[in-house]
Amino acid sequence: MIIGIFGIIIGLIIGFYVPIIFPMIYSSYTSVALLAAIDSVFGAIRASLENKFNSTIFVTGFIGNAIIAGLLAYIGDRMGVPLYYAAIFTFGSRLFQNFAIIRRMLIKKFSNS
Amino acid sequence: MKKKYIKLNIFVLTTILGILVSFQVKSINNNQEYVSLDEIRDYKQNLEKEKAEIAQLNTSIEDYKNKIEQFRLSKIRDGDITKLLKEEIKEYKTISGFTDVYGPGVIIIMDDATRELYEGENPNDVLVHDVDVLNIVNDLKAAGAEAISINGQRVLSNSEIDCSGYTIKINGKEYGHPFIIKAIGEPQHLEAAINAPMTYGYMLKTYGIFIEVNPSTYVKVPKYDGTY
Repeated sequence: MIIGIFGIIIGLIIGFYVPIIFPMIYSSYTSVALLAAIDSVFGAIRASLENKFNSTIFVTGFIGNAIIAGLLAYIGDRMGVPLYYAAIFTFGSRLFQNFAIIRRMLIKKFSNS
Repeated sequence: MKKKYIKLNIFVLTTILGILVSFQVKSINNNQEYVSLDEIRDYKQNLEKEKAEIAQLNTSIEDYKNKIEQFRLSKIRDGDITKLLKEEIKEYKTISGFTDVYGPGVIIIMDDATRELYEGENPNDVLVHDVDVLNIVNDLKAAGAEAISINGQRVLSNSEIDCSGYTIKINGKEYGHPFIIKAIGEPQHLEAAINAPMTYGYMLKTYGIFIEVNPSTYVKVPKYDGTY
């Protein structure tokens, strides 16, 4: 948990200092991919609180979800179907669900102790 | 040992996530919205159109500047600009058919074919139609004709060349064949516009329709005789 927050902070610092910008045309796809990645991080936090954390599932979910989300948004654009929105709804709602579960667990944990 | 690997995994992945998030934040400016590829293509097309329009407007600015310069020079040379304005009026009168126009040009005679029809051939193939005359006139205009008349009727920018049975209608009056088209312009250019291979006139000839082009050093195109 702590190492994850630490990693995000270091990543943010590195990212802001490295002068690379995504091409504007692909920014909608990368945003969906990022949403998928954030979702799997939240899923991992939830799993670790439930003591069900599996490293392999986390790694594959993190990379696979991001790639599939970006790819689906791109294919949808090519076909004229805005799958972009589907990805936002799915990952967005799951993110909130995960967060709600994490919140409940943390409250339970602290109120017990 | 395994626990350590898990921590390393989490650390690496969250670092990647942080880097990607910061890239995204940097590349997304405010007041931007989601645009699909189709919309981008539309915007590109619009942009092209606008650019072409701007180029056109720039050229017309140049034209007007040249005109102003001409007026200025005329004022210095002659003291006033009435001469230039009169020339302009004359030009406009020529275009709008107020005056007879004389000069070198061509006289074209178009008539129906005299050959026998093939077995089962459509008789329309050997008749001169309104579209045939219209296309010939259009070719002449493209070749730089300044004034055109058909059977003595002046063809203006708003004249119709329309089918009315066995005759054609020009400026509301009906004319039968043969059609004598007079055009003023560079005779060689006008002749080439009708006679050159792959032109509309050449194609009509292959159907057997009679088209004769007579270049002439003096052609008179009458003025428009109707009311405006």
